[in-house]
Amino acid sequence: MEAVKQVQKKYATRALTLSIIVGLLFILMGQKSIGKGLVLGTVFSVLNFILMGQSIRWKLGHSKAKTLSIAMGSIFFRYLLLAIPLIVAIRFEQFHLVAAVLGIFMIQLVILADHIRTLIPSIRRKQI
Amino acid sequence: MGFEVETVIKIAAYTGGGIAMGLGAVGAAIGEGYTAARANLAISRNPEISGDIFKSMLVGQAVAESASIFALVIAILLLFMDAATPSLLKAAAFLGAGLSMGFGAIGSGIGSGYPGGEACFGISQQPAADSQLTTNMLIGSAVCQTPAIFSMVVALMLIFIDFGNAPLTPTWAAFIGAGLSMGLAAIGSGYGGGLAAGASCEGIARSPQSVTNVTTIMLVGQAVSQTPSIFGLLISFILMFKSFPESSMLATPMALLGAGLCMGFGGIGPGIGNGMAAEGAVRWVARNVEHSNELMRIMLVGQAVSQSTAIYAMVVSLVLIFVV
Amino acid sequence: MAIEGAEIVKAAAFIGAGLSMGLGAIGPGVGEGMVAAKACEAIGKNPREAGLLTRTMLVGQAVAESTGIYSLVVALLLLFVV
Repeated sequence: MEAVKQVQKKYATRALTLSIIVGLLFILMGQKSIGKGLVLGTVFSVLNFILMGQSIRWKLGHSKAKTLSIAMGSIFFRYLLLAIPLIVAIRFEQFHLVAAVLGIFMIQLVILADHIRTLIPSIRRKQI
Repeated sequence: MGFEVETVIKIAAYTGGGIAMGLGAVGAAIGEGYTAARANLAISRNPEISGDIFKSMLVGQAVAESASIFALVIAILLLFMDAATPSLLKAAAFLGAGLSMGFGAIGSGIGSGYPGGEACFGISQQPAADSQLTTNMLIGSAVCQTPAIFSMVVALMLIFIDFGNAPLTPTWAAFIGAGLSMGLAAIGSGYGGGLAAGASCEGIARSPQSVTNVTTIMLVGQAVSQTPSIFGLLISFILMFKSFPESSMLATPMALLGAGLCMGFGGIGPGIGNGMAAEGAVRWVARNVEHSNELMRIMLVGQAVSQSTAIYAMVVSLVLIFVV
Repeated sequence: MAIEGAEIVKAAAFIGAGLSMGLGAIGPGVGEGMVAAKACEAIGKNPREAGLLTRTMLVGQAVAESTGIYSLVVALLLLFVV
């Protein structure tokens, strides 16, 4: 379980840092709504990712019926959580919708970017 | 008609949102379930490294989940957005958007579960290849998401583009046809790409030194498997942006609907078939690296032949759109 | 609008043509993929026979293709003859 925690910590901090830096850049450039939307989306994306990992731990060591109800509950809860930034961005002008949508994929983007970065040098090394 | 235009739009938007989220969740559920099942098997075989297996299961599921998050985005947009220009045409566009996203997420969701499961299982057999397996799994399942991304693009265009005052009668069918064409055609490509990615993770676990060849041939095979969904995208773009003259005949809208159905269903088989061919090739490249060139060649020949039926379907849809 | 019988026949023929080609493409697409997968397996096991195996694969795929061509013919008949 320690490994899971470390992976969560690594990607969560990276996603948050990246979105705050990019968001600040947009806010400094005068695009306030884009920056705020991005950060809003990312916060919920990170929450979703952390809950996803935590729920593995909560599911261990219960009876079958209880595990099933925890699993279903966590799925519904996580999707409701992801719906919040979207609804907020649709309802309020201060949050840019497209930026919020990009934000809720920030965890996935960070994970992929991390692995593509390790893939490219390994291919290059093999070919030489 | 007994309803107000606003009511019809609301009905279409709610139905579309329901279809998008309902169908969109099916694929990701099956895929993530497969990943979790294989991870269970892997942990029971090699309990000492359960941490590593959980870790790559979590990362794999996070990426595999994106297909259903795309569907969530479209569903929320359909439920909460107000139409800028209320017209009956917009109602058809909303329904088409829901169909495109709902069907389109099924294949990608199922497909991206395979690499996750095989990678978890592979780690239990070959713990040293952990990082290569995780990287390959993530690249493979990211490529599986492309058909779902195409579907989301089509759905967003149907939701946001203002089609002005195009004539209602054939155009409503064109929008629903565009949704069906993209959505259904994405099923095969997503699933097929997943088969190839799963086989590549299995192969790397078997012989970690062949990782470069396996990843390369996996990417080539997946790229070819995407072609049917690109045909679907093409047909739905034509259906969305060609302007159709007004007609009161029943046959014209039915021809456009038929074109969408034809390309949509026609893309499923070749997508899965191409994926199977790539799966076979990738699996055997891992076992027999010296002959990877021959295997790549025969995979491409086989995929080209299997592609032909998708091309027939595209020809028939084009005839239905342009000639009839 | 008044819909006449001939109009309904025409509309049904168009939908039918789409479904015929669309559903008819699923089988051969999957089947040919299976053939190719098995051919890859065979070449992986026995690379020296690559030429023979490629030929066999193409013959098998051509036969599997025939059902796809039947549905193409039926679709074109529905479009232009009915």
